[in-house]
Amino acid sequence: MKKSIDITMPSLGADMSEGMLVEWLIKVGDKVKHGDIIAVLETQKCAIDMEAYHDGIITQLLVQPVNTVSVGSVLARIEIEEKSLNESKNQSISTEGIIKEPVTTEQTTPEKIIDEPVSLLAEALTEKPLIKSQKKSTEKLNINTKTNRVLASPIVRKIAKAQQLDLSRIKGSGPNGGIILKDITQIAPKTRLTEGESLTNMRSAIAAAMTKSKQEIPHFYLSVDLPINKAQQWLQQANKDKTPQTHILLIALVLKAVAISLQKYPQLNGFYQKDHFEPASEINIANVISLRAGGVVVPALRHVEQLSVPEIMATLRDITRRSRAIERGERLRSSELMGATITITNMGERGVDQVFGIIYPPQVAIIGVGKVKKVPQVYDEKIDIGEQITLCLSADHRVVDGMLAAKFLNSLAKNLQKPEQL
Amino acid sequence: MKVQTNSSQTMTYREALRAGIEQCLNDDERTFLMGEDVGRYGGCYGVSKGLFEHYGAERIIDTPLCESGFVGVGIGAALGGMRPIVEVMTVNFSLLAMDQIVNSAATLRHMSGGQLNVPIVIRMACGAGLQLAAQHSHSWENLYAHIPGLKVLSPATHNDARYMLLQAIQDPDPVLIFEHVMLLNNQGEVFNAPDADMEKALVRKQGTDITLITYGGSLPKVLMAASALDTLNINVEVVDLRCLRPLDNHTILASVKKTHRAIIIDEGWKTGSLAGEISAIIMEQAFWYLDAPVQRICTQEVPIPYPSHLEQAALPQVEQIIRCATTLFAGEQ
Repeated sequence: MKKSIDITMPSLGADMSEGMLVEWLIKVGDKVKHGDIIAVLETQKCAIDMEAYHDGIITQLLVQPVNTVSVGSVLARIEIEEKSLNESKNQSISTEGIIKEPVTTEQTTPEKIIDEPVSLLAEALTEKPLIKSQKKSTEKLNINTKTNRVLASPIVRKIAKAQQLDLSRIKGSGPNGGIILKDITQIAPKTRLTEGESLTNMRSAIAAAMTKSKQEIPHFYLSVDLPINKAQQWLQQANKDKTPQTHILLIALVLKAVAISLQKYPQLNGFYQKDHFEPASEINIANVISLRAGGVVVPALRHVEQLSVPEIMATLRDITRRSRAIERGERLRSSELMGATITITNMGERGVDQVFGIIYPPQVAIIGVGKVKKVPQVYDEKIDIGEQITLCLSADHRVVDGMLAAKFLNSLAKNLQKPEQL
Repeated sequence: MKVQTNSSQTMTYREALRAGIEQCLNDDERTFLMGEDVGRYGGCYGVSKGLFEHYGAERIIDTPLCESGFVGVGIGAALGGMRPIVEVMTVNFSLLAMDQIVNSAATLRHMSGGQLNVPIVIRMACGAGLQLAAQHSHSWENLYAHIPGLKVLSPATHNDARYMLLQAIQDPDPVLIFEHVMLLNNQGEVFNAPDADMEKALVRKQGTDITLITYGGSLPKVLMAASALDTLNINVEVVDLRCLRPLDNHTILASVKKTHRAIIIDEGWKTGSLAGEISAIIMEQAFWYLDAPVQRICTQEVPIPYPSHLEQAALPQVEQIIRCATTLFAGEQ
């Protein structure tokens, strides 16, 4: 049985409300496979390769490049094969199904992640089956349509239109986060100021996300100084026969250790939304990558718990290279910018002792990695010169308490003492 | 807006109504008062006490307990050139006369191609709060406000109680006046002249933050809530509709455009209410000025209970208005 599925503008971050379709890399009639790059999108942050999430045939391209559309807008339709018990009978019904229920099945797929990107994403991550009961998908559709646009009161919209305010940048204090009059009477002058300073899109995206985080998330911070002599020895051994291009760096070990500890403490891996925490089933660790021109991108390594240390290193290298080459036309994939469940920021390379990060909502934790430094270490009542890094954990106190965070850090420290087991 | 004169008198709402009737009877000999127990008994609510003795049985007429009959007689008298004031004891019983009011009084000018008009005034008591239970406590102003051809007045202040009847009797078409039973005993000021034309809504308290729209028996509650809200630094504006048909859209909209928020307080049931009508008017004509959804505070959708605590629980209350206004102003919900 054939089934038509909408391909929609994905949400690539909690603050993304619209995206620009820059280029189609496929045409109607093309066969595509899951993971194929089908389009180039551009967000406030950067250009992104958009992947197909199904095997099938492209039947319609509904939006022509170059066009900016809101998150969730249907860009194209893909026809997929679906197993059916009585194929012949359903042939006609399927067409009907396409017309009536164009959005039934893809609700569970990342393509249909609309405005509540991460809550739906959390579902996408936890729910594998392609087809769900009709009722549930309708419910979700309602949620989508409800929150698809910036909520603002009529008078706010009127003023915003007159003063050319960008409502997507304003935080609402009204019902469901809607923007009401007092929000813009307080903010409007400031907004104009920043416009005058002509912030780049990325700058303002970072500003919005970090402001939201610091205003909403009660952060607390723990740090641990970690001897890494064993890890360094292991790395030396592992890199002995490798070319510099394939060397494994300490950060790969840290990533793996974090993934293993998160399996033990899933309370730090997931999303806090609508007043409750939803743990994620995958461990997708975002890495803060600073760009030479300024700004950062935060692409995620997906399923870190399933990757070996060399695989993590290779993926990290690839993602870092493509992130830094954005200006030269390299691009990140949509799946890499979606669905990070926790973030690591590694400032060690920049000579920083320790870094206490700001959590990227709706995640609930960020881990800061400091530089490797030689320190006096005490072993068997003797002082020795050893190497250590400082790991800092910023956590959301709405979700976890200090005790659990401390246990997590201890577990992480322990894991790094046994690099051979990672 | 109020025509302020030096001299004012303090009296009860009941006395203000009576003074209004007396003036009508004195000014125009075509005027007479007719209704159940309005004469010898002095009116079920004591409004016409003493008038029978003063004006006699020809002008203060006791009728049988038959609303459709004596309202019909009143309409006939109006057609015949008289200026009748018909008292229907309460709105609850007016349903028995509804055919006369809706099908005759309201339509005859139209049906006769403008040849006949019905200059009748029908007064009725309305509202809950006296523990008179489900059959004697209704607020059905909205049923009549629905009908083209009628004018519907709701005097909420003593001055309106004093002068609206006079304005109504001068109108060439049928006018209904609703007198809320909970206002009758209240003392208040009466001035030398009416506040405004009877069809005009009045701002009873100026404010900037929220418009509270109400009428009749709910006005004192709303004004009480307004002063309480003042102490909470929420400066509400209070609009007294006064005339429920035709509605003074201009005053309603001007206020909402200023405050960007509106709460309608209406003793009727919410479903199909005047509050709903006003909300729709705001939505149609002031949508782009709103900063919050229009709110309605109405009577719980139950037959009005007999026990006092349940009756009070069913009706709009001051605390409710304050709570609604504070949440609305805070931008919560």
